[in-house]
Amino acid sequence: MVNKLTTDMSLTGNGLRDWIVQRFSAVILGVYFFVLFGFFVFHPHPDYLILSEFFSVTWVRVFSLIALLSLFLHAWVGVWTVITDYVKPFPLRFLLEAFTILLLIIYFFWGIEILWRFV
Amino acid sequence: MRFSIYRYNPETDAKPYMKDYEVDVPHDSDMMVLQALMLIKDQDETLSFRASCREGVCGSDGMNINGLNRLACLTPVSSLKAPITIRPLVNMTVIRDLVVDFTLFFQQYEKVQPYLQNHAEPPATERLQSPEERAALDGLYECILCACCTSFCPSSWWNPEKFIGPAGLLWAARFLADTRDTATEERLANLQDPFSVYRCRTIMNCTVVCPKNLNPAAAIAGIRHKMVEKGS
Amino acid sequence: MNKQRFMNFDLTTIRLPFTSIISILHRLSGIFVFLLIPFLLYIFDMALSDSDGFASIGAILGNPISRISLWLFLVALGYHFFAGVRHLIMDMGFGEGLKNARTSGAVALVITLVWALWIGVWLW
Repeated sequence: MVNKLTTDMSLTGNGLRDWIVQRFSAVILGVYFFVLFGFFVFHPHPDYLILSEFFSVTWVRVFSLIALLSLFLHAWVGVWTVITDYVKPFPLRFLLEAFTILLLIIYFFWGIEILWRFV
Repeated sequence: MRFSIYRYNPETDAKPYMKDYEVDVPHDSDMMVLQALMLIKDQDETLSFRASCREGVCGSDGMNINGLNRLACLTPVSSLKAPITIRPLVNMTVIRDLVVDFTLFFQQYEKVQPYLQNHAEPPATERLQSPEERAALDGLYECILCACCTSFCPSSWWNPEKFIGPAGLLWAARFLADTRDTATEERLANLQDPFSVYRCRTIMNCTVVCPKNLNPAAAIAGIRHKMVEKGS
Repeated sequence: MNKQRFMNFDLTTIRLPFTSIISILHRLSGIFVFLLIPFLLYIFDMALSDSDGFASIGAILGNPISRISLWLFLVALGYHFFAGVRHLIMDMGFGEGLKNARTSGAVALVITLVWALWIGVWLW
């Protein structure tokens, strides 16, 4: 019902799929932050050793990776929606969308670098 | 009581302006805003607004009264704080004064094919429904297309052409819920792009302003549920 | 005849319903969190590099602006989370009526307030 070109920069180009991805990634991120929250409840003022030990546990690292991926998907859907709501001139909108995706890719690999540097 | 009314006549005015009127409203009066508008029209016959049934059935007199979209005929003056500010429905092209252009609104309505589709051979009498099946239409079929909701929906403000808007989507939900309609799959497939339905962020402005107390936001959620069921 | 077309679209004349404020805050908090991700990644990068890097966080957060930024980030993240849970609950078909939506919105706000105070105490 809507011109395909206007929807191609959305994550999946399909409203239903975008919506489901947004919800799924939200749940993963929610649980992840709950785990981090739990860590800081038990260690309100951690030192380097406690923190690095926590992030060297395999499941924490894998979960962090999944959370990073979820952040990538969740933010793409969300920011794309915001941009297409408010930014109407095509070149600016396209640039903002491309820039957002670039930023999210950088965040993703930056996160991996943080997590995997002390194997 | 003072009324401040949005005025614009494209024949004579460079741009819209607000004009004040005084109306005598007796202390315990049950006057509706529509009656007050008629009294104002007695003072100033150039004032234009739409109205017909004057009892909330025809959907002609939707307007923005003290910041909320509502039907003038169903809004008691006594429920409002003076001065009463009356503006046309939000984000719709003004034809004159409080009369707005419904073209785009009805185009969005037509997009959802708001009519029963069933290509099976019609039975000799009617296509019957059980009382439960009929009850599934309650809260969906009562829409009078006054545009109060769509005109008050931020998602429609930012994407008036691509997002169908709460009114059209309520009608989509009404035919999706109808057991006599056999076009469910096509209807759902037509609505799957990221704008038509999914621009709804459940802001619920539609539900707040609906003069028939319907819940378009919940109806839209129902459409999404049906899509998830069909799509998985 | 004036050919120019006009619309009544002046946000200052519109009464924003409570649920729309809950919604726009959800959007604003999301954008804010998105914009501050590099700041957070930088802190994590420092914290997990080595013990010297970890110690430098104390210096970073000694700066009131960065400490307030971190607080705002966590408050926005909290609100985005609580309002998001509200949406997920509504997506499952609960509390879709106007009254419940208002109540759940107020609950999200109140929890965020408590969260903001709690985070504030933790950070200062």
